[in-house]
Amino acid sequence: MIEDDYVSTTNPCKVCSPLGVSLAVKGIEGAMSIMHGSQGCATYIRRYMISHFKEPLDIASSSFSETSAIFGGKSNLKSAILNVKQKYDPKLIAVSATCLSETIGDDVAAYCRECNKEVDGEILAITPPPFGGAHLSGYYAAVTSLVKEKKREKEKIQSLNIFPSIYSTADLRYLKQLVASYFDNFMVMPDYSETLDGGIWGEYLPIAPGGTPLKKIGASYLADFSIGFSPFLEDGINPGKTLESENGVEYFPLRPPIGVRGCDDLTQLLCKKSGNRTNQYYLKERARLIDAYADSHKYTFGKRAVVYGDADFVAGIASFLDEVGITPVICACGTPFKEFEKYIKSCLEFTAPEVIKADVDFKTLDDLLEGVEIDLIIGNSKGYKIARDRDIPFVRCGFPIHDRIGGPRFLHIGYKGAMNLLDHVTNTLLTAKQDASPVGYAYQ
Amino acid sequence: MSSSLLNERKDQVWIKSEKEGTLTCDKESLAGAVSQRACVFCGSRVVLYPVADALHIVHGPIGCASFTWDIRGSLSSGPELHRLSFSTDLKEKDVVFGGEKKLERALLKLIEEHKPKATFVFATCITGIIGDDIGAVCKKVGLKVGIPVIPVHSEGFKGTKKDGYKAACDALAKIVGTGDISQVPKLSINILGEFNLAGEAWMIQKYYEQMGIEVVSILTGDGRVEKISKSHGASLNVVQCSGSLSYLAKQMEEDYGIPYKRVSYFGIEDMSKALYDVADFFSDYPGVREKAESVVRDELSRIIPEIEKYKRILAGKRAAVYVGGAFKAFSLIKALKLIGMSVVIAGSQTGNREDYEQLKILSDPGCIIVDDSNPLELSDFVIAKRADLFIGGVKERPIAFKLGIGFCDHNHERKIALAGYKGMINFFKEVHDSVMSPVWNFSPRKFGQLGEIL
Repeated sequence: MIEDDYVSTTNPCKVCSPLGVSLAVKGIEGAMSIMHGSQGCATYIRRYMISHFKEPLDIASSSFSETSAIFGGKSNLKSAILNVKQKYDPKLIAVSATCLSETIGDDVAAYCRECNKEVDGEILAITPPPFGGAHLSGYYAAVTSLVKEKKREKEKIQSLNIFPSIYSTADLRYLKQLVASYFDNFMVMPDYSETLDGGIWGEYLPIAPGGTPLKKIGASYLADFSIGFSPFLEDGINPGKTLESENGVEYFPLRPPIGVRGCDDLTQLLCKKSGNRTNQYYLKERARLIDAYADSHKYTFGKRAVVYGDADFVAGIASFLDEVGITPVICACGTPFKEFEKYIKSCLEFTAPEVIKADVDFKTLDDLLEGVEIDLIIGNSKGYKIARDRDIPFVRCGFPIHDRIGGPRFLHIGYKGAMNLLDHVTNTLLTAKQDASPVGYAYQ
Repeated sequence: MSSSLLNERKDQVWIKSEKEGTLTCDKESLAGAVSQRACVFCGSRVVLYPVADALHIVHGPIGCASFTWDIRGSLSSGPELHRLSFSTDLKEKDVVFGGEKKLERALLKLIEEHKPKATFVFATCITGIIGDDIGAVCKKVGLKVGIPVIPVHSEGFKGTKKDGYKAACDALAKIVGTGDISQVPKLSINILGEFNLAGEAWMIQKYYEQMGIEVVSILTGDGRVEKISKSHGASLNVVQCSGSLSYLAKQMEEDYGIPYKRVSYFGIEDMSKALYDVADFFSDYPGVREKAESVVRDELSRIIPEIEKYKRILAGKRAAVYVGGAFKAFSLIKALKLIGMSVVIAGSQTGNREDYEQLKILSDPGCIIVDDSNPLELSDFVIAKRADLFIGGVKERPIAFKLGIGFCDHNHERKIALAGYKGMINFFKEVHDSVMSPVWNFSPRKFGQLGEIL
C-alpha cells in the first residue's frame, strides 16, 4: 500500500479520529463531547467542523497542562465533567481520548466509571484509534462504543438500526424519510440532521435539539436487524457487526446508497423486511432518475474521473459514476483501510479503475494524476488546489466542503441524491465543453 | 449577571463602572469551560506560517498538520511553500519506538525535493511526551543540508497560545543575525507582528517607503529567510499585535541594541500614529516627518467622505468584540467610535493585566470586559447587551448567526485587507454590509418566534 520510504505526508487527505468521534456525538440526543487532552484538540476540531457545517459546535476539553501531561489528566477530566454538567446539563457526556492521553496511558474508561458514580447522567468513554487512524475510524469507533456501552433498555423499541457514514444533513433527513415509508420505528445513528442543521435560534441553546434518541441506542441490541454502508470496516469499529456477533442482531452490510444500485439494494431490503410494502413515491423518483440518466448519457459516457475522500463515500460515488458510464480512473481515500481496493472493485460493473489506493495524501494523488487524461475531479474541498493547478473541472462533494456554501446540505444519497449528483456532474462537464468551444453552444 | 458564568470564572469578567479591582487573566483555561483558545502549537504555527520560502513540518500525529493546512490568509509575492502541509504522521509504532529516525528521513527527503531556504520543525504534544530529541535531529540534518533546520518547541500542552508565540520567536531568533548587513541603510526598520493577510503588509510597507524608510524585513508577512537573517541591521523594530512578536523585539534589543515601538495598523488614528512614531524616531533625518504627514493627508482626504457616509448609517449601533489579542480590541473600539458605534462587549483570549486596564479606559460605561470566554457566556452577553454586530473569529461566527446578528471576521483566516487607510474603508463596508443586511429582519430576535407568526 505505502512505499517503504514513505516517511511524511504532504497535504493530508484525512483528519484525526477524535474529530470523527465529536461528529458522531453531535448526532446523539442531548450529548456533549469532552476531548481528553490539550485545549488545542477541541478548538481545532471545532474550527474545522464549523467551516463545513457553519453551525455552533461546542466541544469541551480537559485542557491539559504540563502537570497533567506528566502526572495524568484524571483531576482535569473530573473538573471538565463537573463544569460541563453544570453549564450544559447533557444527558450523556462522551469523553474521547486523544493522542496525548493515549500516549501517557490515561485510563479514560476507568475515570469515566468513577465519575459515573458521582454525576447524574451517563458518562461514556470512547477510545478511538489514535495513531494512523482517521476521522472515519473515529466516527465508527464512537458509534460502536455507544451501541456497546450505552445503558441497556429492557424493551424493544425499533425494528432496525441504520448506521450511516459521514453523510450530509440532507442525506440523513432523506434516509430517515425513506426508511419511515417502510418501518414505523427504527434508529438512524448518529443523526446530526437537526443538531447541525436545525434552523435559526432565538437564544443560544447549549445543546442543539435533535439527534438519535438515547433510548433507541440503548435498545439497539434488541432490534431485528441492522444496516450499515461500510462493509470494509475492521472489527471493533463496525457497529453492525458488533451487534450481530454479541447480540445476534442480523447485520446487512450494503453498498452506500448513492446511485440507482445502492439505493435499490436498500429499498429492496427494506421492502422485503417490512413484508413487501412498496412505495409509489420512491418508485416515481427512481423512474425520473433513470429518465435523467438517459438525458445525460451522451455527456457523461466515456468520461474519466478522479474520486477521493472518505473510503465508503468514494465507493458510493464511484458506483454512481460507473452507472452513468464515467470511469473512476483513480479512486483514493485518506484512510488506511486494507479492504478498500477489493471493495471498490466489488462496487463497479461497467468500468474499471486504473488505480485504487488507500492512505493517500494529496501529494501522492497529484503524482498519480501526472500524465493521466482526466475530465473531472470529484471529492471534498481539499482537492481544490490540484483541480486548479491542473485546470480540471471539479465537483465538490463529501466532507469537508469549506470553500462553498451548502456543503453540509448537499444531497448525495437516494434516487434524489443521484439526480442531484448527476446534474452537478453533467453541468460541470457541459460548462467545460462550452468554455472550451470557440462559439459556445446555446443548445445542448 | 449571567447564569452561564462558572464560579471559577467570575473574576475574569468585569463590567465598566460596576466594581473596582482588577480582572483576573493569564490563567490556564478552565477544564470543561469550552474555551475559544487553541494551544501552544497553534501560536507557533500562526507566527511562522507566512515565511514563504521555508519548509514547515509538523512532527506529530496527522491531526495537528491537517487542521493547520493553509488556513491563514497570508499572501506571498513569490514562493508558496508555506501553503503546503507537511507532517511525519506519527503512527503507533513511532510512538513506541520514537520518531526521530522518521523525522530525519522525512527532513532529508523533503528538503531535497523542495529546496527550502530554512526548515521549521514543530513539536507537538506527542513528540514532547515521547521525548524525541528534535533539537538533535535538526542539528544533524542542518549540518548535512547546509540550511538552518530549526526546532520549534511548540508542545501543545506547555501553556497557552502565547507560549507558542514565544517558541516561534525563539525559532526566528536563530535566523536573525546570520545575514550580511553591510548594505542595510541607517534609515531602516523591521515590521514585526504583521502577517500580510490579504496583502496588508504590502500596503504598510509602501507607506514607510513613501517616507523614505527602507523595510529590511517583515516578520513574518510575505516572509523570506534571507531578509530575516539581515533584520538585525535595521535601526528600529516596529511591533504590531498583542505581543506575538514582542518577545523577538525584546530579544533583538538585548542582542543587537535595536529599540522597538509598539503600534497598530488598524484604524485611522492608530495607523497615523504608527507612521508618526516612526518618523519621530528618525527625527535626525530631515524630511521624514513631513513625508509622513503628507502620506497621512493624502490618504485621509481620500477616505474621510466615505467614512462620513458610513457614519450616517451606522451611528448608534452596538458591537461585541471578542478577538485573540487585546491589542486588536483596542484598535477596533477606536475604529468603531469613528463611525459612531459603541462597543458593548470587549474581550480577548490572551490579554494580560495591562491590556485589560487599557480596555477599561477605552470602553464605554456598561461595556462587559471578558478574558478567555466561551460560547455560553458570549451568547448571553450578546443578548443582554442587544448587540447588532459581533466581531471575532471562525468559532464565534456561528454563535452570532444562530442568534440572528451580523458578524465580521477579524482573524488570521480573513481574505479582506483591514489594515491601513484603504483597509479602514474595507472594514466599514464589511461592518455596514453585515449590520444592514435585510436577512436579520427574519431572525426570531427581531421578528418573534416562528410559533408567534404562524
